[in-house]
Amino acid sequence: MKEESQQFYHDEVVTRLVQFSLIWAIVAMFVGVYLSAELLWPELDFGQFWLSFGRLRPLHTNGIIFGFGVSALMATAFYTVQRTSHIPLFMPKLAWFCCYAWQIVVLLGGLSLLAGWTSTKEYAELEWPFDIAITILWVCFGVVFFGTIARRKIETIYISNWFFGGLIIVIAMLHIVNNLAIPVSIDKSYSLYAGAQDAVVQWWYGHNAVGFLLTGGFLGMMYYFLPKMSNQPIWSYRLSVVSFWAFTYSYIWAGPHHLHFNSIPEWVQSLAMVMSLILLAPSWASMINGIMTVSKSSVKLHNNPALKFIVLSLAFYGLATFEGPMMSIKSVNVVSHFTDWTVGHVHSGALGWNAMITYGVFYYLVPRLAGRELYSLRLANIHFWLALSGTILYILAMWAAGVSQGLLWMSIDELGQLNYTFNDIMASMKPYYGLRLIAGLVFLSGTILMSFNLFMTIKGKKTVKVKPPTIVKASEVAA
Amino acid sequence: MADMPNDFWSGWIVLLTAVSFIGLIWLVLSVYFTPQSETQASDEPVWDGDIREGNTAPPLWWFWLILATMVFSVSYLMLYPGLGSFSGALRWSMGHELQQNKRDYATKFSTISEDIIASSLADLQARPEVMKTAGNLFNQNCAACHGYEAQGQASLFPSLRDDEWQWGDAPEQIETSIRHGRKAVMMSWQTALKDEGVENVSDYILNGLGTSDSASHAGQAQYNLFCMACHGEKGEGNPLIGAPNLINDIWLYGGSMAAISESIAHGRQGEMPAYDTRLDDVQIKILIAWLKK
Amino acid sequence: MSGLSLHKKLEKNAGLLIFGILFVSSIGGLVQILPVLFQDSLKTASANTVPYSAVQLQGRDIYIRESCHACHSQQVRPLLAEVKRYGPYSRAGEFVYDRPFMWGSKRTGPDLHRIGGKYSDIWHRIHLIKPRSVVNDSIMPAYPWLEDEPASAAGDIQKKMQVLKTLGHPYSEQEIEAAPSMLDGLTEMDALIAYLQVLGTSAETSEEQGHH
Repeated sequence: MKEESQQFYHDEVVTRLVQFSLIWAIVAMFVGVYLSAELLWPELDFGQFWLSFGRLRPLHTNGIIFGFGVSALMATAFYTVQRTSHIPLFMPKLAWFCCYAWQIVVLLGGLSLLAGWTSTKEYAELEWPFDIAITILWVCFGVVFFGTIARRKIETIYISNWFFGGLIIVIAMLHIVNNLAIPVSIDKSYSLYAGAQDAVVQWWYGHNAVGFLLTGGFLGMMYYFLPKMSNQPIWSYRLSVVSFWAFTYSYIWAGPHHLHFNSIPEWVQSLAMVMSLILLAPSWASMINGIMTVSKSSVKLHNNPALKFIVLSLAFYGLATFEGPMMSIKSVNVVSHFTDWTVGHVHSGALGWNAMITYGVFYYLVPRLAGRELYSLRLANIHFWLALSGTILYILAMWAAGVSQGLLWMSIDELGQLNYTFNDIMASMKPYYGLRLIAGLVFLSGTILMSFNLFMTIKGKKTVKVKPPTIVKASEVAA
Repeated sequence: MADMPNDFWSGWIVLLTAVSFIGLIWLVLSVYFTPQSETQASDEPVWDGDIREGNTAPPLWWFWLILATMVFSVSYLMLYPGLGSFSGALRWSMGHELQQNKRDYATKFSTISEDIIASSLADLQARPEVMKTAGNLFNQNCAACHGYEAQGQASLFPSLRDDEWQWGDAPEQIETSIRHGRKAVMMSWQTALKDEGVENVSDYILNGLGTSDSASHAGQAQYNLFCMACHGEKGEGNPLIGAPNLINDIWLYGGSMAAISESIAHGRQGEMPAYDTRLDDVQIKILIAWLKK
Repeated sequence: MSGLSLHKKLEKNAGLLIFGILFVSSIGGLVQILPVLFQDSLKTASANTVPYSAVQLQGRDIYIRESCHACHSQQVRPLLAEVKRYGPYSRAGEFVYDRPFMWGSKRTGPDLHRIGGKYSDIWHRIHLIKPRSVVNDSIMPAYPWLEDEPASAAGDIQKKMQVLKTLGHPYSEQEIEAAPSMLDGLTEMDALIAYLQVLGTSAETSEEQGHH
């Protein structure tokens, strides 16, 4: 017993996962920028099948979610679960296996998307061989995570781990059910479900991949790193409890709001809509909890890029989790569905919330892993403004584009005929798409700055060895 | 819509939804209104040296927020289809709403529609708002092939702004073209004519047809034998069978020697799809007026 | 018992916590997914809907490979303007042979559910090779490589039809037998166009037209 708790935390794997996450962020965001340029200049694919919009698009989304997002989630889950369980990782070799094998799967998976291997189900495009590999790795991730929890030295499981646990369990369930298919060949399978049924299953998955990975998983990050950075207890334990369970309950129902007025039964649409509205409350509960925690803190935001990013991410989180329920109202959805508004909404979450909280956490984490001050505070402050302006410009451009598409598509003239041709409306999107390209470039350049900054911070350094606090409390690197 | 679950699944949906809703209310109420004293545990955990859970009472407005969304939800599910096969007090459905919108639409625009059907083409052409709508309609439905403003494109899709109307320019003929589509059948004459014949006939069409010395042209005999039946002795064409005029210097597939030889050697099967299921009477009428303007 | 005391049990027992999360997160699926999977009307083909022919199926898989759904929906919603623009609204019964569904979530380009028969084959061919030669403002990518590959390149059409047959698509043995010969001499382009031309053609042509 004593021997075990004197071991060091396994933080090397955390460092490596952070590095991979940064690489994926740059690659996948660059692909996103390239895609947005293709929408302005379609010849940018140079007649090459692998540069074609349809093939690059899933590379962008999968690269962000599974490359950047999951690597960051694994890194922070491993970091957090050790510190809140007061014990090193269970089966550290398996954690290393997860780390590297995951990168290989994302890399090969990305290449397979370029080759045209795709099931087309959004955020589940990878074909069956990759689905199986992901399932196996996800189980390994679960074994390391829950194994560590099972051997924890502190009785109560910390709230971050509820959310990380939810991430692992629910994503496993969704991933397996949605990807059930019969293979034809190595690169082709046919879904077990067809038509309307397939659509309902897919969006049950698609929406909750957003829910339990991009929302829940990153809330797990927030609940550990925010109180840590602001030296404050989480504001309200009772709010945490109520929001976690209400979140886990209501999110799952919301998927079919992606299919409003589509060929699925109306009762499913209605249930999805009301649950999406209820979801606003637990989503905001976590935001309140976070913001109130910071507001009690005496830690200054000035020259603290980590905290600044996290606070900003909570603001965008609040915005996106308000906008989502609004877009799920059927009469709003009539306008927003199929338009760039949806793209804007996704990015207010993905850029404003997921990327920014990850950036904040990395700015906190990497100097501690490296045992050295951040390479350049100035670059980090510049990055903050690049990220903020890029995100806002992106959202505004897509709002304008989406709302005008939605309204112009429905516009009827004085003779009762359509007022605008599809082409005219599409052609009028050019200025918005131009702004979006600029926004993407600005955001990407910030990400590159940060990656440079963090790689310089960790360059030549070995990951600092930290012991669980029960033995040597002071070993935690000072904030 | 007919996509209602059967009784078993309907009961399943209602029961699970209701019970889990009650569960959610219970969770919120019991956690929210636990007395402050009971939430204070003596062995309050501390994680990682300094992380604690605060004991602040959650704000009341949040309680009102979730209560409001839940009250709305219950009311919505009473009014609209949601709880299994219960179709809601308003009897609303997507299909019904569309039918209702169509009825409203018909009421609102019936006078205009009747007026258009009753008007002459010249009257319609004199009304700028009708012509604007017709132009839109054309661009929405026809421009992908015939090009914006009907100027034709790709050496495959005819201009509708010149004097050549392959299938006739009478309003009734244009209407038939729109409603039922057209399929041209210019056969391949390579086997019959051989390379030399193709060349001779092409040259005859370009340089001999309609001229004074046409009779002396080497291609005339073959033209008369193979082409005249459709395109006419003087190359004037025949709109009844979609055989184009060959002497007006309008060439859909190109007027060069090479292009004409290609047409003769391999034939042409220009196709206009039928639009009678895509366009209604009013739309077709104003399109014809616009095209004839 | 209060929610708080129940939670305090769960947060001290990893097994219970896992079970709790699994239980609470599965309710929504049990209510929505299960009944939908058992709802017969959603897997009953509408009157004119038949399985894709070998050529159309191959074309559909090319549509999938190129991820056309990333920019084109195949779902006409029951909204007045939408029905006027695209045609009769989409019904669940028209999609029972769609594995996976191709409804899409974004219309960068127009909806394609009722595209079948709207343009001639030759138009599709030109448009797919050089979109801007027929649609000036188009931002669609060009697909020149579709002309280079034979439709039968992968050689797995019979396997595909057999798999679909086990999933309930009513293909006869003769159809499967004849499938490779149907693809003979066709390019991927031909197959894709064949698929586009059959899209949405099973609409019931009653009062559901865009007419009034």
